[in-house]
Amino acid sequence: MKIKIHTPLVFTTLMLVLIAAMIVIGANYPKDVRLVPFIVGTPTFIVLLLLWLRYTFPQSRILNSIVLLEATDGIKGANSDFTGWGQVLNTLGWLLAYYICIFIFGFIVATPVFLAAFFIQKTDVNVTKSILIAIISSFVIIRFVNSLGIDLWLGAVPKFLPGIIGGSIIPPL
Amino acid sequence: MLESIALAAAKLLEPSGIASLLIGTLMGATFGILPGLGGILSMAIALPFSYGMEPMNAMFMFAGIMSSSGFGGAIPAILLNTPGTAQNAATCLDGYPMACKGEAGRAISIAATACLTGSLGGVIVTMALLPIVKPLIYSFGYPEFFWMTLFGLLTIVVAAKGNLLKGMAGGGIGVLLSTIGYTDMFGVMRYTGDSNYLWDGIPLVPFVTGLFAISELIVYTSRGGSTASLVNYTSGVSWGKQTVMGIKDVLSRPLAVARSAMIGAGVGIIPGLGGPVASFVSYTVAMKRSKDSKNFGKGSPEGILSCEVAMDAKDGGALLPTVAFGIPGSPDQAILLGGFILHGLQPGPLMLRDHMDIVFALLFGIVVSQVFLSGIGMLIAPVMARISLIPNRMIAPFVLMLVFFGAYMVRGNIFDVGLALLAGVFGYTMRRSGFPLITVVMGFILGPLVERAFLQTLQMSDGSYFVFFTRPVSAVLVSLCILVLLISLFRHRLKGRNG
Repeated sequence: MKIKIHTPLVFTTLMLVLIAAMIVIGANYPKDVRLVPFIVGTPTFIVLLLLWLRYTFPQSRILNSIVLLEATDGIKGANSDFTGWGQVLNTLGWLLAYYICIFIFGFIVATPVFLAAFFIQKTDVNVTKSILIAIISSFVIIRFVNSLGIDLWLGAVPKFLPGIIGGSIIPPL
Repeated sequence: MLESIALAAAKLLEPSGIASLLIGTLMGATFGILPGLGGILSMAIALPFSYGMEPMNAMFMFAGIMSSSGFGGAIPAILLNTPGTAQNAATCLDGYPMACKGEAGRAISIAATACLTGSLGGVIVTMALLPIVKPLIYSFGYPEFFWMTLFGLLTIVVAAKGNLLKGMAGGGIGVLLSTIGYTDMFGVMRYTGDSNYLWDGIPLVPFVTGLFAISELIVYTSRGGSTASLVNYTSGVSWGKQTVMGIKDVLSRPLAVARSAMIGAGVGIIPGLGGPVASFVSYTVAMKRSKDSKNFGKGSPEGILSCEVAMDAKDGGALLPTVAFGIPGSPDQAILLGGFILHGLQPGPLMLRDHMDIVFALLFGIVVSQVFLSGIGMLIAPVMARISLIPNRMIAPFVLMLVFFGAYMVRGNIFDVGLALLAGVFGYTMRRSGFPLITVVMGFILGPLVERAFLQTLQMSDGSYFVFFTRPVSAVLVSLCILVLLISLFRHRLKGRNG
């Protein structure tokens, strides 16, 4: 069975919760500190609530007259720029994999591996060319960053090859 | 004054002057093209290198960087819907739709010509205003600064274009996200939880880069094809002809150019507002004044022209408060202040008296750098525009690589890369839900400025709110804000009733 996700409703709900949480937490701050979160947060919450109600009760005439043109997308039909969530999740998987790879093994190793794998899997470029493109472009960007005197992240793994893999200290989160 | 002009011009014609200017121009353009890096980072990197240079040559290099990052940033904005710098965000609104219609060459050519005319206009306005700069800047106190920043924030409503509520919500979310972190005004943390990472707030570069670049990358990688594949790319107009059309688009609208240049220089003069406000205010005004306002956001040459002219005119205007009062007119000029101090130059009224040659060196540098860059830009526009025909899935990994490296480089924190990724997912969901991304960025950038100005005004008036309305300049600005809001609401309702 194909599950249809109503993205605007899900997103608006998440934002409502986030803004509500910020207003509630902000209530504990001293007067001046909470001023802007209140002044901006309250109308933002009201606007999001209107949108949420509009998505939840699309037939309501009163809401339609208040919200007017808003919230029609996602109800009337999908924008042609956006594909199904399957393709999107696939892309997100690649992005996340690249980040995790960088985190564990560092930029120097992760970048050519990611580029080569992406070209091989996602484009028509053949394996040899993919590997060549990956190595050359990684070399250029890494040399450029090094020339600026910036120390690249070498990965969270213990130091393996000095200056290439491992030994970077994870900053406090 | 004439002696200072002659001195600066003579120095610019020396080989060392030209070389410094070219280095700055190339550096600024390169950093501008790469999303997430931009003018501030290139200025910061150039600062220590300038130490061994003659002060005048160092100023040429800084002028080159400031002047060129705007045009550099317009290229990815037009071709990839990814602004190279924050101030190019408005360029995306019409540049990218033009690229999708197969008119990328024309759009880049408009940007190149507009940048040149903008720089020239900004410098002319600045030189004309130099004698009267003091009373103008002195008339801007905290209340005026608050209203001016709020005016920039209100352009969100217009930027939302038919999505008023979503635009307002996006702006609110942006402002609220900007409140996260340590606030030096009160010396307390807000919304940081127990996270050390959030002490400094959400970092601007990874957030904005991720929001725009990664969300766009997700869209076009999932979709496949190429930027110019959505419609028939072969519009029958050659790339060379598109370049000529782009030049004509700008030169045939002298009034629009003059208006945008004045807006840009005017916004630049007001400290702290910077390029994004200049380009958005100019875009809004152009849209309201244009006979062809329906085409704005769908690939209007006038739309690109208005923001690119204002953005470059801003550089000239922003120099005024920087040199006259030591108040940086824009974020990159805060680093320029460091450059002044590094070279033993004290910004302020004394600089206008003793070092006018330096001021003119900066102004001339901005113009000459732009002449050079726009010339190159127009020549390579046809080549650059072909990027829009490369399959998206070939471009995506390079963009991702640049975004991840760029996000990491600013602070050297690996979690900034993760934040860029998170911002990208957030941005993608927003786009898919019909929320205009730009409103979040506007709120995020301008929110802290509004808050600071608001609280400083209250401190100044011992808590009285009357001060916001009783000063003459404040009264004018508040009227402008209300007018913009009312007109937008009225238009929105009218549009809603007409279905």
